[in-house]
Amino acid sequence: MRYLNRQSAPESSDPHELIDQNLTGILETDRSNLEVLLQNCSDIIIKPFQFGNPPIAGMLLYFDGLVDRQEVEINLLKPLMLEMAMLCSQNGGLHEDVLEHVRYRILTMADLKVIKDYNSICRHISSGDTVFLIDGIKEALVAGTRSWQSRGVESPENEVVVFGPKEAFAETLRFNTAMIRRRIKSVNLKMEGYVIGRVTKTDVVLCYVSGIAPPNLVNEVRSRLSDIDTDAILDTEYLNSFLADTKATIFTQVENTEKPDRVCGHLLEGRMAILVDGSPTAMILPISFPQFWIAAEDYYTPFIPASLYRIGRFTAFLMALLLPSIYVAVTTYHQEMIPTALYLTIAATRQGVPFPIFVEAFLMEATFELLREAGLRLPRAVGPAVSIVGALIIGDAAVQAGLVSTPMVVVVAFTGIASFAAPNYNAALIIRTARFAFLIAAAALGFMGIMIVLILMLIRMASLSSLGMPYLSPLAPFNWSQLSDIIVRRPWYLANQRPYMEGMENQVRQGAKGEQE
Amino acid sequence: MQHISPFQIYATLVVMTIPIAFLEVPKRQLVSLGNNAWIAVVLSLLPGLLILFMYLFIIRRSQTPFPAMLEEHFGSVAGRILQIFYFVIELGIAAFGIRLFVEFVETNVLPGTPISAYIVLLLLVCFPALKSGLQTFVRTFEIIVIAGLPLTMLILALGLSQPLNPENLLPLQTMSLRDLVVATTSTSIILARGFIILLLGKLVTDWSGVRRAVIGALLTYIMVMAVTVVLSLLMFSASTARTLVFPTFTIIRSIEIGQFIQNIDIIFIGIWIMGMFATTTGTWYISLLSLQQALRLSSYRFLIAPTALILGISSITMAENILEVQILSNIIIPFLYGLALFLIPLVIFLLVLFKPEASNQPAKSITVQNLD
Repeated sequence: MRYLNRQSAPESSDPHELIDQNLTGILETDRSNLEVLLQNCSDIIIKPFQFGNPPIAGMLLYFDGLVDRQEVEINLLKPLMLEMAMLCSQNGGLHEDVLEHVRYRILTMADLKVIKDYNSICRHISSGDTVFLIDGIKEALVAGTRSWQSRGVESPENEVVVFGPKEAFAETLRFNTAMIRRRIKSVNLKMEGYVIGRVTKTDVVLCYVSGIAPPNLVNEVRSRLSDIDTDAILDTEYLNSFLADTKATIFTQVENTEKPDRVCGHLLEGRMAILVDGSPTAMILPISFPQFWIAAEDYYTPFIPASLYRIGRFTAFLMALLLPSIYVAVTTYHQEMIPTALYLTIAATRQGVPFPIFVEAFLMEATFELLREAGLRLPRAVGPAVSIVGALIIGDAAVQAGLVSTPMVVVVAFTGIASFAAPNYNAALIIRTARFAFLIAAAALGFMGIMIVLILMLIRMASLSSLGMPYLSPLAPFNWSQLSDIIVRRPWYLANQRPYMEGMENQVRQGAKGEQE
Repeated sequence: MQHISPFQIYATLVVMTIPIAFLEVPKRQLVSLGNNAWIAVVLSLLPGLLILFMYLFIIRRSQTPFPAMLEEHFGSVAGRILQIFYFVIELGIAAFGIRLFVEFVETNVLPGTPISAYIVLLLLVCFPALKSGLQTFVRTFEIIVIAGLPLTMLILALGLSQPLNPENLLPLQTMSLRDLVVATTSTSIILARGFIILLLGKLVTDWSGVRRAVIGALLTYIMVMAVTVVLSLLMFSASTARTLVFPTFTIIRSIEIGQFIQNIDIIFIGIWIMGMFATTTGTWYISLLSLQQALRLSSYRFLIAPTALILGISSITMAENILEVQILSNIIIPFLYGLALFLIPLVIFLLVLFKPEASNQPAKSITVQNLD
């Protein structure tokens, strides 16, 4: 019996108590309660109206700017106010449940849900839905009317490719899930929704391919997502600190990507992706360190050049990490390694430089990092110009002033270029951070110092895991079949099996046995 | 229960034997046998095989890993006494390894720096490895072998591109049998450092993989040592090589390519430092586990700091100078290797060989402490 005695609602006007209460069914009371909850929200639109014959009072609520107003007016208000009245006139009134009638006979919208409490109302209208309350009904109808100004699908800013798809995620969650769904048309592609954030109530989606992703890992991620209790989730990076196995480390245990094709590639290898409404990046996990050096473009170019580029990328990683420290170590402690002619050249260029090599290197590296950061913050119109001019002035002027030597500028430039070869921004951050530790160690103990820091870094990385998967796999624990697809790009006709993960049910990627729906 | 892969066994055996062997084996063989030094290295294949297969046999016929297997085979009281014994011996071997390392670094790499600084650094690196646990440092060993072994072979191969004199290998018949036996034994006894397999072997599920790993490690050791010794002879004569303190590094220092690449010994030393870290960590780990098992402690981690102090102080006080280190290396250490890493396991081998399986102390009555 939906029509209830018209009793007053509880007199509490405390929003914290009201939010958890259910609708009273009395339109005036519900309206008052909602006005208390939504007080000082100037963008809320409350539209009372009457529909049917005899007239029934109803009310629409939505946030201005989040809905498609045409959708509201044409597909909600018009059928309710005009068609409902006509129908009631023809049939001599309404002989059945109003809500059921409106939901199944009047409104033509596909996305309709029923809710009962103020919390759900507030969450849905905050997400861009329109809520419809009916006098005498203790439930409300939610219509999907989301529409707002947003950035369309653009090219990725941080993962530029020459060949292959150039779509990037946008801030709207449904656009992003649609881009993935378009590429993996199997119903085994699951997208589980979560609402995380006590204040922001952010929509979060966990994507995986059922039958490929290890069920134990999926359950673990579900559990970790459900355990998150925080005020706000504004970006996928917020989730990193909750999902990572080890929090206090410079080595990120998830991968962030802007490209839907890269996400799909990972999903098909049994990994999971997490998308957050309002964030243009997806989070992939579990991930291992060697995979940061695999670019999506490797799979869109023939395997021989792709393999060479990949080997080049690994070399660039070592250069970016170790080149400045090796230069400092060799010139400070191990001069015998340098051919005499070269050493004399270096010594000549260092004539009059007042700083030790370590200080020179440290200053140049720090300046390069400052330039890089400044370049990110500057407006686009002037950013590149200022970066180039800054680099030229700082490099050239510093050399002419005798503050640094030319070889040092060359070394720092090489290092910078090598660090840009990292296909993944997270990996580049690791290099940028760890490089300074190597520099200090090289200044203190030469090659021995570099080795000490390298061993410490290896120990740290070996102790890490991503959802239980060792961070250095397939290097350690050594797995040749997977490693062969890390060092070089294995051609597709040889890639019959997916990289193995603990608990994976279906490892066959190609061939009759691996056929899926 | 943790699992170790066959490749991790291989990596552990390689890093436990080869880095120390680089410092000890070439010099010893050159002094004993001169131009026939390489024969002793090659012949050590057979005793090395016997030692390692003895260990494998012990693992197969034991129900518990080392050090609990000491109680299994010798009884609770004797077993625990032996565990304390192994704690002391392994700590001593680790301290000696550290001292050898710092003597070399102080002599050839960074003279003038106090050896205590190197000791602290090496201990500083081993400390987090042990704190992180078995899986972590075994994975680190894998990386060291994957990166270090090919580089080492490349550097040694570069040595073959230098001017060589094959006549330095001749004549073959001027060695005495006694010298040959002693040299072969001293080369083979290094392989007894693969003793750690008595601990790790029980954690491997693929038994055929373990056998392959052991044979692979042995062949790698023989190959690397043989190439090093042969290179020493080819580049210098036997009489010259005998006078070198660390022939391996002198070889590498002599390598020059195109009058541009020269004195690359520091690169080799960098790789070797990683190996020394690994061998020190492995030996220290055995020592800690032995004490943990003897005292029935739940974890070995809180023992790391105090044993680090013991290691540091004993490595400084064990010898006054490099000459005394050489004496230790030639006399005391081989004796300790022989006793702890060969004779006692030989006794266990004979026990399991001749004793019916049912008479062994049931494994259920032995508390095996956590290995991680």
